[in-house]
Amino acid sequence: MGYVSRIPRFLWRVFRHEQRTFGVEVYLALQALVFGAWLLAPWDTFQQVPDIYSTLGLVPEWIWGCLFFGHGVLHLAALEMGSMRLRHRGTSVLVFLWMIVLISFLTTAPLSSATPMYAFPALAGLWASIAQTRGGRA
Amino acid sequence: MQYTLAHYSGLIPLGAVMLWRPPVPYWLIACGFGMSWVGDTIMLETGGSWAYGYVWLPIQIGLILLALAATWAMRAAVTVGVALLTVLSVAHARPDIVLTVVGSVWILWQAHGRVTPSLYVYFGLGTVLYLLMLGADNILPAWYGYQASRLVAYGAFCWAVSWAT
Repeated sequence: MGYVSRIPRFLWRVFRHEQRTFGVEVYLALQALVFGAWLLAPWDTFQQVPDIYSTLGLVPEWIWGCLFFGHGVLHLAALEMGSMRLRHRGTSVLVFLWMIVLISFLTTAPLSSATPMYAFPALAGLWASIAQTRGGRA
Repeated sequence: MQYTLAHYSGLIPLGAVMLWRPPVPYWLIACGFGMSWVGDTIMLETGGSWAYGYVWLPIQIGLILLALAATWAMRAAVTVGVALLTVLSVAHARPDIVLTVVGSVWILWQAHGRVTPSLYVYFGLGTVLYLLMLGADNILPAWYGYQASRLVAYGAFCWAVSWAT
C-alpha cells in the first residue's frame, strides 16, 4: 500500500517537473501518422458509425487524413531535425486536432470508451507543450 | 444584447491598432479578426446563409497568414494556397467548415511571436468550441464558450499590440 499511496505524488512530480518530452512526442507523432493513414485508406471510416462521426463528418474524411498524416510527418521531421520551435508547434497543433476528434464523441457518445482514448493524446500533447515551455529539450 | 456584443466584438482588435499604431503585421491580423464582423453583418442582412458571407473566411485566414509570413516567397505561397483551398472547398457540402478547420491548422503551425496566445485561443480553442456548437443539441453553452474565447483572444491581441509599440 505504501507504493500505491506514493503514486499521486509521483505523477504530480512528473507533471510539474519532467522536461523529457522526446519519447512522448515520437509516440504522439506516430499516432497521428497512423490515424491519418487509416483515414486516407480506401475504406470509409466515418461511415462505419456515421452518427458518432457526425461532427467530424462535416469535413471530408480525406481532408482529416491529410491533416493528421501531414502533421505526423512534420512533427517527426521536427524531432529528427531537433528543432525545439517546430516541436513546440507540433505538440500545440496536436492538442487542437485531437480535441476536435474528442468533441465528435463527446457530443454523440460521451460515455463510450472513445472518450478517454481520444482525450489522452490531447492531454499528453498539452502536457508536452507546457513542459517544452519550461525548457524541455530532451 | 449579447448577440450585438458578440457581433461588434470583432472590431476590438481594430480599435487597439488604431490606438497603439503597431507595425503592419498587427494591422493585418486586426483586419483579419475584424472580418468576422463583416461576415456576421452579411449573414444578418441576408438571412443566415453561409453562401453570401463565405468570402470573409478566406480573406480572414489569408490576412492572418500574410501577417505571419516572413518572406515574399512565403506570402506568395500563402496567397496561392488560400485561393486554392477556397476553390477546392466550394465542392463540399460545408465549405465554411472545411476552410475553418484547414485554415486554423495552418495558422496554428505558423503562429509565432507575441500574437501566438491570441491566435492559439481564437483558432485553436475557438475553432474547437465552434465545432462543439455545431454538434451539440443545445448550442447555447458552446456559443457562450465560443464568444468568451473570442474575447480572450482579442484581449491577448491587445496585450501583444501594447508591447509592439
